[in-house]
Amino acid sequence: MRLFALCLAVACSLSFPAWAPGGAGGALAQETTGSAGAAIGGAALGAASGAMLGVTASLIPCAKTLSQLTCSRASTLSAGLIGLGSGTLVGAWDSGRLGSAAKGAAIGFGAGAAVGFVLKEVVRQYGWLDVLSTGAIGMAFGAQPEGTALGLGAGLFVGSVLWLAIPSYELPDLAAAGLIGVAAGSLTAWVVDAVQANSSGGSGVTIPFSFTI
Amino acid sequence: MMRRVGVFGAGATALLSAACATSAGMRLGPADRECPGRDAAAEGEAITWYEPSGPSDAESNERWCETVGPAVVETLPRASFPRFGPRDSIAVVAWNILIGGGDVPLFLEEVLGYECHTRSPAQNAGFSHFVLLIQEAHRRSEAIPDVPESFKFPPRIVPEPPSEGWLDIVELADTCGLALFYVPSQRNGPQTVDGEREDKGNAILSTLPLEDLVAIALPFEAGRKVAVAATIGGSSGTRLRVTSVHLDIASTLYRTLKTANTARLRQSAGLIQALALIETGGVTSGLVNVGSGETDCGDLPGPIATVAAGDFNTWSAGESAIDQMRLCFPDSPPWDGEPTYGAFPTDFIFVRRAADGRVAYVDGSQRRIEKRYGSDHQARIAWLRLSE
Repeated sequence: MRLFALCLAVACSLSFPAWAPGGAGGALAQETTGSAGAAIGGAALGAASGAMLGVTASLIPCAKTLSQLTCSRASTLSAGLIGLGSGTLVGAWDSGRLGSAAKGAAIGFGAGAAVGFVLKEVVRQYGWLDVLSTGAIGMAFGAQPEGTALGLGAGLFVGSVLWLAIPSYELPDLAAAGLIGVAAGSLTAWVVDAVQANSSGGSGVTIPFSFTI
Repeated sequence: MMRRVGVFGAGATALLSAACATSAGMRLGPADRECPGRDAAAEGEAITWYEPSGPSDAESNERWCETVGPAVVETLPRASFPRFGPRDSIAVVAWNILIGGGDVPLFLEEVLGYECHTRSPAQNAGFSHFVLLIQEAHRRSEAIPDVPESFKFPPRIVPEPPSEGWLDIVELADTCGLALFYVPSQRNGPQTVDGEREDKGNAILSTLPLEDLVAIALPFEAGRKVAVAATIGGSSGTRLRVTSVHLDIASTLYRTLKTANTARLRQSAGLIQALALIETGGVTSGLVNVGSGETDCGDLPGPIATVAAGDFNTWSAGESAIDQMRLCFPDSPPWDGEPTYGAFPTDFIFVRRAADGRVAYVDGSQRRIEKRYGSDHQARIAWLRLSE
């Protein structure tokens, strides 16, 4: 079973280019202008996606500390801030790239909500808020599908190696490694998108804030 | 497109703002509730209730309580057992018996050398007194109310019955001649079978009389959970409080995200607070901010030695709920690395001594029982010395 998990992780990593929509090549074909509205939209999408990634990744590892809530909040806030910053820059410099992320997020939300709806029909205590929650997780994963797939593969690979090597490494730790991989991969993709949006020569916008140090 | 993005942003903002503090506080339950699950079947047997002080928890628990039947109390064992000697030890067993699927009579015979017979239970050589802390006990009764099926009942669990029949907890106590304290937590499905319905919950079966009966409705997560506690006496007035506990396996996804997966940590915090209230005679505990690193064990060591054992539904022995229990039960047997539910370490026995130090865990005596006896959980057993 442990070897099967390792094989699954490798297969997941290798297969993502075959199905993942968008990506750097796709984004380059989009329009490369930004706007203040797109920057605000990017901030919202990035923050939402980042926060969901942060909280999801924290659920298992933070449950091993008595400061469980504090730990999870720190993860949520950090990831949300990374998403917020990256999303703002993506929107400000390249609204086409943001459009790809939003499209992926919408597809992810729909897929997640569909799963949530099935769960609602099967699991006694599940309600509409849980459908919304699975949708929100799908949204976070779908906004950066390449990063999600790569991160999942890398996380499961590392987790599987640790699982094979360390007897005290438990099955939930392997699941946690996968979720942390998803968060790390997706957030990295947000940051990479922001850098590429800037370097792709977008017209950019002036962000209406001034700072005094 | 921007409108769609804005919707995501609003959702995220709502979720982040909802990630508010999660807390646990307990109080002495009022005595004038109508809920049938609060009544003892035997008249004159008072049960002291403790419950969460939060209105949301209390409301949910009350709603679920209305679907179950009364508690069952048989404080004295029907069989004759030898007096508890000054050098005797008592076996404490924690076992989730899967709605009667676990073959308790066979377990007692093979593990504890006790044969259940209605009239004359037989104690084999080397017999020792024991207390079984049971989870997922079930009871069939006409007294369980008929509730509209619109209520979201847990689905009915029907195990593969043991070879000698599918006994409920009342029949089991009767057959084995044991003292019984059973408090249902929730229904076992909505069905009515031959005019009877089923509920399920935690129970204590004992060869020694049960006193000071306490029911602790835990903070509500996915379903109502009621821990049951009672005291048993050794020789020379030595007393031990035993508690049967079953925590939730998971909350809803929304609640898991909102509370950062602190469901079991919050329930164990509620249990610890209620046990502290029992010891101090207090009415209301303070609020503990669950997950902030704060733990309030009450005054340790307390006036009476306490065992809290059962199915904690944990996926790791390093989970915060277990760490918290270990902090508040510092005399617990060490973790032996043996899972009891498939690959998962769900079942634990926690111990704390009293100030007089007369009750103590017998070092090295805890072990996992290898056979499942028809349950989906393996039992744990530990021995405690109740000295003069």
